[in-house]
Amino acid sequence: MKSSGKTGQELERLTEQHRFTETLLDNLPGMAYRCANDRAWTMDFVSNGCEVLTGHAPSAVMGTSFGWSELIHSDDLEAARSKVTAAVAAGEKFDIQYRIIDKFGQEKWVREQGCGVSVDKEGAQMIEGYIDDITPLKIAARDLAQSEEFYEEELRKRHERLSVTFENAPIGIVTYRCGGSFELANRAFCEMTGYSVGELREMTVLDVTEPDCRSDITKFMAKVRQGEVDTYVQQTRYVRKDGSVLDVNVVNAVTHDATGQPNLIISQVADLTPQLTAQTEIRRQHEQLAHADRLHMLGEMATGMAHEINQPLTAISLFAQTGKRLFEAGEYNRLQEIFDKLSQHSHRAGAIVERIQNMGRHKQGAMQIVELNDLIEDVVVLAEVDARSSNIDIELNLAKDLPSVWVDVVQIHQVTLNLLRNGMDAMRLPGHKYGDTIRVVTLQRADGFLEVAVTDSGCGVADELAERLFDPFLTTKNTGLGMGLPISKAIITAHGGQLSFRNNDTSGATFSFTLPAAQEGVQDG
Amino acid sequence: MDRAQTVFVVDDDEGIRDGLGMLLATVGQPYEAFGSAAEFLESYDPSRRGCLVLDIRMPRISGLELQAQLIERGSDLPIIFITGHGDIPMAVEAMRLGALDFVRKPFREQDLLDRINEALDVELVRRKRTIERDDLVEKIASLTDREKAVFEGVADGDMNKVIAFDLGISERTVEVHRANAMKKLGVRTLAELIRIKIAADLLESSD
Repeated sequence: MKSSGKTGQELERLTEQHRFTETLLDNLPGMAYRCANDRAWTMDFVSNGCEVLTGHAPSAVMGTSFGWSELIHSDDLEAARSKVTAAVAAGEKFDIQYRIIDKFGQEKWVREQGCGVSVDKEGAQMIEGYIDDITPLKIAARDLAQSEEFYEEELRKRHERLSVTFENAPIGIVTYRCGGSFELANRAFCEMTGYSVGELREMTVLDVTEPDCRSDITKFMAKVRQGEVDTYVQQTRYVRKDGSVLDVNVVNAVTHDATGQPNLIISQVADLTPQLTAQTEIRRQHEQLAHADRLHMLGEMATGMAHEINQPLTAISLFAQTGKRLFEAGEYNRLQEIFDKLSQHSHRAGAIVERIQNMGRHKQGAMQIVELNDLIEDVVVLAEVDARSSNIDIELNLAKDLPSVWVDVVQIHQVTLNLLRNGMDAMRLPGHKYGDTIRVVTLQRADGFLEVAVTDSGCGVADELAERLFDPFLTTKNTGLGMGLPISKAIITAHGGQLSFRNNDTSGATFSFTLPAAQEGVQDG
Repeated sequence: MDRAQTVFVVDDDEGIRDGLGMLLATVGQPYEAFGSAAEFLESYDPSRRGCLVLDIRMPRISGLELQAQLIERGSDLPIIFITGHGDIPMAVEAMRLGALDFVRKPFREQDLLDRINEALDVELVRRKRTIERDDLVEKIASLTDREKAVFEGVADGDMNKVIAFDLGISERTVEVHRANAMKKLGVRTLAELIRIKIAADLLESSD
């Protein structure tokens, strides 16, 4: 080969270059081509990639009447042709994308880059270029577009749902910055406070909070800014635009920005008015019922009390009459004795009235710190009126040094009197009197509760009644309302204690109730 | 007012007992006061006369129960009950069982004194009747069978002759029995004898 000289070397170099080009073309992922610049784009040369791209072997395409335009999707052909024609005429490169239908009817997206070339001196035009399969790219792009659309739609729907929910929520929802200034408020919140969204945007959460309750929310916001808390449930009071006050339950939750800094507080606000109104109504009805029961009980006791007061009054009247006669008879020396008697029995009458007044002295609904034993003794002196006429002795056994109790005195009087009277009624039933004594005991239990137990020696509680004992309108007495025990139980429960009973081993029953000992400072609460 | 009559006061209330006592003392009426029914029953003597002022409500033995016990013992002491405001049903029961009256506390003293006087009068009349009755029963019991038969015949308006025939005795003997019977019965005229017969018949029919 050396002898061939420069020409031989040149040829070898060219051959080598050709082989390299062929290898390159054959291994391209797409298809290199040269075609005529005619309507059909008849192929002069295609690389091996043609078969992969179109399903047609290069031999079936090159130098035949087969034109590339036959493969192009009819919808895309005109656009492709006009762009190519224009580029070739202008002597510029073109870069187009269109769809082809391959030998197997499969649609593919391709990209074609090329330009016009002059191949002879007459200036005959050929087109050379490169076509590759961009179907995967197209699919990916379409999928991407679709998914973006999908997510946008989804986002839009969610947003709509959220805002409808937000706007129409039955509870007030409001958002504010960690400094307190409002951002958004829903309709319920606006109705609750009386402010419009526009007005609220100019305000802070403190502006709608009652002054007494502000420190609470201020502390919360400070903690939120320091990242110490994320949620906070509070019962507070709002001031409406018209100045009226509203009790609310607020659930606060904190949202964070992308850097994790707290940026917004979302408050869900529930109006507590209906709940509080219902509670007040229940309490009021309860008090009315207790009051009715107390009146009934006092009514039943009125006879005994009238009798008790009539005794000294009768004596006074007798002494007065006697005194008058003694005076008329001139027996002045005995008048002093008469006056002493008059005075003595007046005091006696006064003491009875005072005893009854003691029961009415306390205001109902007022909680006060009292000594349990004093309270029990007040009731016992009153119950003794009844007891005496039934030959019943009330025996007191009061523990010393009991802690005070924090009670509605009127109500605890009522309960105690009720239990005493029930006990005495049980002992008054013919054939059921097993003793003459009813015992009242106070003590402090191991669990710290104070207990008052009333033990009678009457008929006891029949088994079939035991379960329904605290049911309203259950009564075994002719004149009973059947409200005494249910009311007593409700009163004791409201005081944090328990009312219970048991039948004694020998005879009768023991009813007892517990009360919590008053705690230091509880009267402030 | 018979000085031999005593007002027995039974009341558990010392003030009322005391006041009543002083009142009765100032009007010169003998009385005895008791703090309970049991105390009264302990010293009860059926031969004592007078009346009872009784509190209807008392511990242990009530006024009503005391009344019942006295009835059981055959006592006819008139009873005036002292009642309270709500004791009307008890007062009614007491009246049904024969109480004379009741006064409600607080009462006017004169009312009570009037009732007491009334009760003592009633007791007096009752006692007089009882004495008369006992006397009559005693007198009739003293007659012999013959005398009684003659007495009944005479009182029925039969002639001596008829009585003699009926009894199978002589008219003369009838005359003797009749004179004896009139003497024993303490009567002098036929009219008086007939009155005694009517009283005896009434007693018999009421027994």
